[in-house]
Amino acid sequence: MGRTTLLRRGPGGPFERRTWRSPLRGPWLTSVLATVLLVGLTVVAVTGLLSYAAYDPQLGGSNDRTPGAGLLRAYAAFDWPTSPAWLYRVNQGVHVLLGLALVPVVLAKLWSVAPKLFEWPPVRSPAQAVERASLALLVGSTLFLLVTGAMDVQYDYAWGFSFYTGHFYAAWVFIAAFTSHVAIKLPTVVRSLRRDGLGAPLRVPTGSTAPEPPDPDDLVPPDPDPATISRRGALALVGGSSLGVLALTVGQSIDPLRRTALLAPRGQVRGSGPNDFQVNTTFASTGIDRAATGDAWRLRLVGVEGDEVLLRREDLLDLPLRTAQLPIACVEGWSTSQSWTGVPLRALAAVVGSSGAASVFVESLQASGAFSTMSLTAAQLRAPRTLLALRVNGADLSPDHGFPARMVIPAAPGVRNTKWVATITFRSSS
Amino acid sequence: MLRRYGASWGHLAVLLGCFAVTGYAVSRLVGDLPSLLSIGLWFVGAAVVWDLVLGPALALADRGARRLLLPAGGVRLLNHVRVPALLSLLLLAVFAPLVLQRSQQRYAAKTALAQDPYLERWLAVTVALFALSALSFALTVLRARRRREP
Repeated sequence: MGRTTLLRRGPGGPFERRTWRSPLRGPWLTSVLATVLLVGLTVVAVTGLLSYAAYDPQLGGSNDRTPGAGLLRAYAAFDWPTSPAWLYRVNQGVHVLLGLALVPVVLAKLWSVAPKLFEWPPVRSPAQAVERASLALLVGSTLFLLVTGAMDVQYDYAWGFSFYTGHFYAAWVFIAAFTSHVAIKLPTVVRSLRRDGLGAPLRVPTGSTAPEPPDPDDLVPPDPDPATISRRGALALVGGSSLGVLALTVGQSIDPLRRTALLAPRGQVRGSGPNDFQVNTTFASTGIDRAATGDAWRLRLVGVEGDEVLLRREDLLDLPLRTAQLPIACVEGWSTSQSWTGVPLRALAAVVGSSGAASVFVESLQASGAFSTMSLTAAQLRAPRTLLALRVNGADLSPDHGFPARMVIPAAPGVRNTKWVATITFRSSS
Repeated sequence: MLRRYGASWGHLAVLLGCFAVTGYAVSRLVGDLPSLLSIGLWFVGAAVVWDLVLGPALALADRGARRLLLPAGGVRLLNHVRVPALLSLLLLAVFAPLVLQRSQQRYAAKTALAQDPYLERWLAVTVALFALSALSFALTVLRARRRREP
């Protein structure tokens, strides 16, 4: 084939429009999938941004997982609320479970527009070249976020970068590319859904399923095969897959349903004892000396003026205790609600004359680990249910759950509930 | 000028906004070059693996299934194989780290549990999907036969 013929006709194979033969491909099917993703991915993006804000990155230190983010995290500079207590639990459950459930919809959407990837000639105008570059960002960021998210919740960190860094920056690329794609394509979606309606194409059985009329975007195949599935069947398959993923995972966020979460990372039940709920980071994996959590343990309180008080566990148990039903809700989406008993943090602040502290710095006995220290806002200090917990469900905390004492903060990400607490410093500035 | 670009100014403005945000995000990461490079690799890799490997592989497998099953049992048989196979593959893809026990050690350190049950669970779900599909296939064939012989 001569050079000019190659340029005109294309290299063949997938670049040849006749290679694409599914009669289902067309603006209507793509528009239906796009509408589902417009709503679904928007919810996933918003809950993701909120989850980032729930760490209160403005406090710096371990709270700020992406110190270089600049303007990208300006929106998160508010103090994360402390009620309702289920706030982060619901936010993160939705983010992770909906994200996983949308995987089949994203793949179906990519399938529906696959011929566009192999358009020939690849570039017809500057406008098209720029738009295709933005689509590469959209597809790359969407798949990147789904892959890193799914791997992270299963503890497979095979990437060589921090999950927080990758997921956060890719999220902004996604938000930019997604917004511009919606702005450019929304009229096409509205037009094709208006033209055909939602119900009529769904009523056509497989035998009479025909391709849509030729469209300006060349999604409709010029030489289609006979249909082997109706549009209704294809959408039922995609929707059913989403519901299937959801059914096999949702139990990891709803305590009584945990056994049903067959394929969720937190779908295993540990037992029925007071400390047998889900663990995040075992005592054994921290390398903390067991003797340091025994009789020798002291809680060190440091007040805003620098005065220090050391308390034994018995001293803490003698203070007025409070019991609160609060969830541990992990950034990974799983959660569990337990009944915690401990000293309200604001009572400990009062011991060192720091009730008016602007922030609180909590240190664990853990020598290393990304979350061995954590900061709290003044709002979290004042929240009556923010506890230094000593007991759970009527029993002493187990080593895995933070014995001798751990933080429990209402509405905050689980990782902020520091375990094996050694020192609490009240600060006059944040 | 606009005719040479090929679309409206709005189109250009929206896309410039997209690249501006992307450029800013990349510029914030330039200081951490190793992260930027490996993020870029996974970013491109995810799209390439789907668009040029997994997607085409699925399409080829489906073409094979059509060639094999359509003459034998028509659309009905084809879809009763396709649907459970696709669901099973999807679950494997999404939960591969658990099913293939790719993070056994870290999982144990984090959760005090083992990843062992997940391979069995995925296999059990797969068997259940194919069994349900076979049952539904048998029922539709029986019903169709009964309709033909009143």
